[in-house]
Amino acid sequence: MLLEVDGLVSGYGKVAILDRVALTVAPGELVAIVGGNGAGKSTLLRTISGLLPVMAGTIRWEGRDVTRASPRTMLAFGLLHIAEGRRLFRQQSVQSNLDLAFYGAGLSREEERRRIDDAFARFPILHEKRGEPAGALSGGQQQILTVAQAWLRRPRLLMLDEPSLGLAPVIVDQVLDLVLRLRSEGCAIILVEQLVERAMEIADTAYVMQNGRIMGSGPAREMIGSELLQHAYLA
Amino acid sequence: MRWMIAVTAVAALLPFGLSGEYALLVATQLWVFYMVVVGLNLLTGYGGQTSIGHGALVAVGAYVAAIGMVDYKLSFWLALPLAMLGTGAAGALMALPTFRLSTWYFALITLGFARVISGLLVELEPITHGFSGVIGVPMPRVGGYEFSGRAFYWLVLALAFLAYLVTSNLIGSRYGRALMALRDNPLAGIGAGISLGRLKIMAFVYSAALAGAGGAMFAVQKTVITPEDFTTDLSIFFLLVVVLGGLGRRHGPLIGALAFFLLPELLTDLQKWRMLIYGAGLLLLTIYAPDGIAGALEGWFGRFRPRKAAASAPVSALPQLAGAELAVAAVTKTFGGVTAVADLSLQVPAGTVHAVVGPNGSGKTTLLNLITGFYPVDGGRILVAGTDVVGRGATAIARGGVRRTFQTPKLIPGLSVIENVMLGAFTAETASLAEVALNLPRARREAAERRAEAMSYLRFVGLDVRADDPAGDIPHGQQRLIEIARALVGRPSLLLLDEPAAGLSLAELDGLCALIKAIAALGTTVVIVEHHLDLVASLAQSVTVLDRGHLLAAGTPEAVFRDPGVIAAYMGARALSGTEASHAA
Amino acid sequence: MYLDVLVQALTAGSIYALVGVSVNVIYRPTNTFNLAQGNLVMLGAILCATILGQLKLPWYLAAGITVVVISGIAWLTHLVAVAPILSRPGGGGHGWLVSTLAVGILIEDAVGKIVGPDPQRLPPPPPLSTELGALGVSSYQVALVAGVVAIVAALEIFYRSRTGRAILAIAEDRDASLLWGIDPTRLARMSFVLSGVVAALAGILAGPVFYASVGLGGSLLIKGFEAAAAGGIGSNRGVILAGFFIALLDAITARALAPGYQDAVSFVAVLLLLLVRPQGLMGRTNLRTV
Repeated sequence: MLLEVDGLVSGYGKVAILDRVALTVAPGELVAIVGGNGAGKSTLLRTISGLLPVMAGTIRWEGRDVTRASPRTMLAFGLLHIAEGRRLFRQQSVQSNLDLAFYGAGLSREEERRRIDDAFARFPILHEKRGEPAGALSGGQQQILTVAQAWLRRPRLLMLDEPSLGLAPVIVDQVLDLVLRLRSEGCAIILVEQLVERAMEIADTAYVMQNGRIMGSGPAREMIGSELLQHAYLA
Repeated sequence: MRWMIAVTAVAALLPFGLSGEYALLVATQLWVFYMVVVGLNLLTGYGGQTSIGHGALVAVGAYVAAIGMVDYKLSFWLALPLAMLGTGAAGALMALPTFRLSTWYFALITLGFARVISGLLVELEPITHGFSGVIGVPMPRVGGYEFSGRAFYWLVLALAFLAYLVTSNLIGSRYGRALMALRDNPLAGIGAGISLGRLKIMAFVYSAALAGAGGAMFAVQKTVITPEDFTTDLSIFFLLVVVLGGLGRRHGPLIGALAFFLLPELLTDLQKWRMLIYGAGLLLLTIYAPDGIAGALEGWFGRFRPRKAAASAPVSALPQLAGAELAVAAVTKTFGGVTAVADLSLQVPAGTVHAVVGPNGSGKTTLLNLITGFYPVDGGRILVAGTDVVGRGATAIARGGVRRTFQTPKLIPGLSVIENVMLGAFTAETASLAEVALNLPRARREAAERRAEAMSYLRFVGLDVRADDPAGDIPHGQQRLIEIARALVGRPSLLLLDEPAAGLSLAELDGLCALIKAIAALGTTVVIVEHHLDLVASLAQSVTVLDRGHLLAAGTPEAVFRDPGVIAAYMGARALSGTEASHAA
Repeated sequence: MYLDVLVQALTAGSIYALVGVSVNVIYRPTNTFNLAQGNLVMLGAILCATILGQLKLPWYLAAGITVVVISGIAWLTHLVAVAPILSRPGGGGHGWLVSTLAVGILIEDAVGKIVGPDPQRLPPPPPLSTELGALGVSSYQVALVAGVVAIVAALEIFYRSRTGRAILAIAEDRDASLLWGIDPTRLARMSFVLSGVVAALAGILAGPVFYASVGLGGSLLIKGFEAAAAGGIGSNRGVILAGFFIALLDAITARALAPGYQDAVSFVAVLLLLLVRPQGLMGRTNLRTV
């Protein structure tokens, strides 16, 4: 297994949000995590990537205990977490945002240039706007920029939090298409998404969360329309 | 309070036990400085505004009093209020530029002020007598009686006790709660309609006036004052005493002053190393004991003290609220290249419940921030009860009866649950600052009324049993209920709830549903931003659906949730049969 | 007649600007302000003068040692007085104000005890001289202004590098920068060292034109803060502009009124500016999100 999470408890301050969460991700697998607002999905991602301290439980990366690893260490292992809400460096240029995706990756200059050229070929809009501050881009362009950053970094596991946030359906299609392309290159993905059906269509495995707990999991396609899913959204 | 009375009583008897002039001098100085530190604690400890130039305020007070008494032959009883007035004015001037600035500017401005004052004391020679200083400051007199020696000590002690009393009253009042909001969670204060700018000025003027009084006493005690008496060391000394005693602790100044005066007086040989000791002390305290001696004692004794059971405060009946109509007309807001709200209009009749729904990122919370004035509007009008509130600012809008809750509850962790609720009634209190400071009957009666009222709203949301617990210990879901109680105690005509159901369990959700229905029954207009469609369907008379900042649909829940456009764009893929189930619910 | 006022303003303004820039270097990644900064500058001037006077080392070697020592103290300040407070849950409030103030007191008092209150003479580096030449300008003054411009330009180039942009990224979004593997503590430490270098250079450059005495620290802290605040915190161009304006105001006040009033006049001027324009001359306004 690439990632194994077991009995995970975490939260903010003294208050625990996650309640003994267990989850596994195999190499190249696309895992969808769904559940209502406040179910603890973002908290789960933040804990796995090391932004939040673990109160109890374990996180393993290829069998190695990484429970207390910092975000920096996790990134070095190949885990990239793109937080909710298009967290770009808005005052810096598009080019600079793309370049920061190489921070600490230790790539050669040629490799970096090759990847940048490749990204510009795939996302011509970014090439066109490379000199503009990221904050001046439209919402859709900003989301494309975050996915392009992930693309440049070539993580082994990408955790993507609500990529469809505030985007038009056409753009959502584009973004999810990029996610699928990343996966076809062998990158495993954890996708937290409010567009449940869309997420379920493309995912291999789905986990349903509610009140900080995993209520159930299974092959994504089989879960569409299931009672479990309905229950999660009614609560 | 009991402690302070006991200490004052002992201190009053002290002159009989002390031998020699010097001991009396030191004891007098202790209470002079105590007075200054009490004011600094209100400003820096409770208000979170670090002043590193308090010594300069003492200098202003001392010079105003000394010049008044020596050069203009004023009586002490006139010079003292003049000194307080002078420093108060200086304090107001200093606080003015920091209105819209981060707190640390304030610290540096006080430091700059201190330098300027120490320069001017020398430079303005015709007034201040330059390096030679003001000589021959007389003792206070009443008729033929002169307050000197022990009498002066008692006078200083009485004034110090008065300073404690008044400061204590202020800290326990709505002003104290507002100061702690300013320090810990300014947004909570703004949401309650508190003008933080005015509060800052008030805190600084008060603190400066106490420093001025201390300065006047200082001048009298020394009889000669020169610029040398008011170096930066003095400011650092005051800061050290308040940090040592415990920032934001009621008895911090007393503990700090006692510790500071008792120790060094025993170790006068160390005078030469004074600044090094100050520096090391400040550094060690801020790193290892940020709450000072008082904080450490609290932590120590708190472990043995049984938790107070919730006081069964009297409860008053909940009044009916007058709902206001809300009309949003063609409102637009963009952030950089992203349009968050585009040309949006909606109408909410008075006294109804309206829900704003839509996917994450569709602009719901932005809309709420626009209505409450937390974000400036780029275009359009927002009418509350027919009055355009655009451009009025969040504080004024909240004062006008528009109250809100936040997605992440904004409570003041250092205040108890009921005090957090009382914060919402800040603008409703009418007792003047003077009445509050002196704890006059009207202020006392009003405080009791507010407490009863806050208690009744706490009972209303089902949390009266936790009234006296620190707000920081309350679980997240219940914090949101406290916030609702805080909004209600402000008697809103329009109440905006930002995702009140996020993260609640099924059982809690039922409770919330009943609560919102009960709030609506009180008469106020309610706008709720929510994801749980069944909650919306069972509560709201009308619904607005947003999608990427645009209005997608509006109408009754039944009609809106059946709208094919809404189902396709928002719920279609999402809640599947959820909408039907919610109708059945 | 007016020329010497201008020359004086340029000389002092360069120093104020440099101190302001050293303030910005720390502010950018940490949003904190080192109250010991003025005393670091003062120590830079005195240390360099002492090394030259006592050890008779070559000028540039003495300057090099000074830079290393001062940046070491800045590193220690971060380690002891700032990092422990910033790592508290909630960022520790404004505790760093008091802890860095304490560091400043310690430095100032230690210097006072060891060196004494007398001003030290720091000669200009060879072959420059403080003798006034043609137009009433010394060769050192020309080099001083050029040196300050070069230092700021070098800093601006640094902030275009990936590491430099990572530092700016922390200021914009700490969590997002963490997720990209940027280590705020490490870069904050680096920024403290860098700011120590700038402070040391400011002190060494100030030495030949100001009196290198213990009292210099407090006044330069205020001037540097005034320049940083008036220019717009974080904006180096703004700081340079404001530094020169403040120095010009000082020079005019000293000429027209009396030198004793110059602190008061520029202080009031900066306060008035902040009252009208809280973000300073070239600062950005930040919208708070709820």
